[in-house]
Amino acid sequence: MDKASRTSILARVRQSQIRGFIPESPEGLPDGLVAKKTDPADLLFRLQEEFNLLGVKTFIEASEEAVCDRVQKLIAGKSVLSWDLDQLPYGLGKGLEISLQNQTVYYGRDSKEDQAKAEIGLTGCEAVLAETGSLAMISATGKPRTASLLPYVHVVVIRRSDIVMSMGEFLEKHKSREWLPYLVFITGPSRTADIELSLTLGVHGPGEVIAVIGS
Amino acid sequence: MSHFLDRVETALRDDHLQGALHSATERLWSRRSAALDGLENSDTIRDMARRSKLGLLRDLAGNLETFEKNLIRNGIKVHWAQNGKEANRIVVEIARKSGCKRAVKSKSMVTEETHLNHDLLEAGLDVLETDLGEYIVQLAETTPSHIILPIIHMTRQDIGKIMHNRISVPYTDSPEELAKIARVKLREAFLSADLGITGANFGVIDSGAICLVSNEGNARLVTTLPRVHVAIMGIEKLVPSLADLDLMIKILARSATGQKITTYTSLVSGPRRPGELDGPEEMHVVLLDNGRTNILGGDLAEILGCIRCGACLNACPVYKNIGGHAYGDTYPGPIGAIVTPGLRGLENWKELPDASSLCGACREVCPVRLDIPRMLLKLRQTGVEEGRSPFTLKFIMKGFGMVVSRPWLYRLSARWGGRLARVVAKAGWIHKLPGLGGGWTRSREMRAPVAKSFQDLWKERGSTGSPTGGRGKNG
Repeated sequence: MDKASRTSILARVRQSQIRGFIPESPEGLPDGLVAKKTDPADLLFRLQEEFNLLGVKTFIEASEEAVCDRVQKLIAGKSVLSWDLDQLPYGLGKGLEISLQNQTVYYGRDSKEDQAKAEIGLTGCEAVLAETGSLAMISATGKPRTASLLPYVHVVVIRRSDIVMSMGEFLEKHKSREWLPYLVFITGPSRTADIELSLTLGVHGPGEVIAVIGS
Repeated sequence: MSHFLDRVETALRDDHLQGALHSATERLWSRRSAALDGLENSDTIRDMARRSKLGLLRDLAGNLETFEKNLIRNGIKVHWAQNGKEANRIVVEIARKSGCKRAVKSKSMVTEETHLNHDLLEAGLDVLETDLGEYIVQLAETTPSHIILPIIHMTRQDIGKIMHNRISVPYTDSPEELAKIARVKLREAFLSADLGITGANFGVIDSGAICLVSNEGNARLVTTLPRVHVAIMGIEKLVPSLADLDLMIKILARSATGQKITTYTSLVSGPRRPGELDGPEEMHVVLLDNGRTNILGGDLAEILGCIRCGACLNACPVYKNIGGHAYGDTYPGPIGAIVTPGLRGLENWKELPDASSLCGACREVCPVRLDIPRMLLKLRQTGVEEGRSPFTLKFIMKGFGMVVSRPWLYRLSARWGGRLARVVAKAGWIHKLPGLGGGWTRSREMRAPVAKSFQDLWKERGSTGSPTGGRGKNG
């Protein structure tokens, strides 16, 4: 039945696309958007500005040790759902190994019911888009999607060199991949305005996003 | 179903709805303007987005075949459905084959169009809406009244009562509390669901992926936790490449809510891959026609470029007054006035193209610059050609033509018409007109004509007609 529908729909589309009136587009438009070169310092500045607007709490740390200390403080005493430790940037996994022994930590391999119990999600990210304050997350081994999704608080560790200006720039880099992985751009905390347009955070995803940016 | 004019009248008499609609649409409209002002080269970007969406319609068949090929390459199973019933049946079959019992859905207009929930429940499947607004719509057993704000017509008290009555939680009208309750309830459902159902905001042809945008994160949960994911999409929802998707993303949220980008923009490109610990084991895409090929073959093909931002609803003076339910089907507002007759046939929807003052605000705000007024006029024309205009209307238009082409007759009838109207008026307003005129006064008053007509004034000021007046012939 599927097959017959396919044939019939495609045949109808073929007839219709010739008969229908599809207006011409204006001429002289550029082929694509050209990304402007940006100074790395401007990138960080712009990102901070966007994070600020989105309500993403931001910490900028000067060294790997400082990143590790900061993360330790943020997650202390809480149950954590983390990326596999070797997937976290700045060798953070090594630094956290000892302190994590004293708290409950879940990983992608645990049952989803257990993962859902965690209070804080701890992740890195593939890149950050300064223009919109969006974290680009790619799903992969050791990098479960749930860590940035299930807990109410999401702590993300960002390498400064992973900041790019725009989504266009990021996608351009990835378009030559053989296949596109599951990809999500996260821009601030989960929000809804369904009830009388009043802004409410954390309706399904994290209600709080905290960014730790290293050097 | 009730008649369009009755639905309009009900909406216009509902003060509560009027208040809610006006405040929400005004706020969305001004946010949209601010957001587009902040986008560099927004005019060019909109033109490029339009070129991309309309361009692919010229060879939609070829594009669909390429899209299908790339989906299959990514391990996605592809299905084709000629109508809503068939699409729903496909989803039911997928659920049966994989032994799924409990479905969670993220917000999708296309599944409203096919009435999927109804058919799933009938087939014995549990199905739960997870977008906060749609969840409340489902609890209240009603339908969404706006493309992006399903419960724009309800107050927080309404919502509090619905939650209290339907899921036995203590009454509250605090949006934060209500959202918290929904988070807990729906989280349980997410963890136990085995089937995730979504629409698709875009299908990216060259990547073989679908793009979903959501602010709440429910679309991510739906595509991550259940072991089977089915996406249903109209055959027109394609973009050629990731570069084109970038254009759409730039204008979609800005036009819809005034955000630069929606909180979550997901690109879903297949079931989980080796090594991944989450994501569905199976992914299906159902490509739905349901009247779209009819639209493509006619004068309204342009409407297939719509990216469903809802900006035209917020800009429309008619939508602002009558709300979404008056349009009687899935898609409300100016876009619905075209899409509904296009998908369902003009026969039962002839009044919808009249639900517009043709002010052009919709065309002005449309991110892909769809010429909505042109299409509305075209539909009105078709309606008349198909014998919509009754004999009396033809007779009246003939009579009107005869009167206005003879100045003496026009003056005479204007004078007497005015006098008569002033007799029935109370304090300068006419509340009820007899006969066909009753259509006007059914839902609004009419101002009584002034005693001195424009022609009288013109004569008094002298027929040479100095624009400032008063100086007369020798002035």
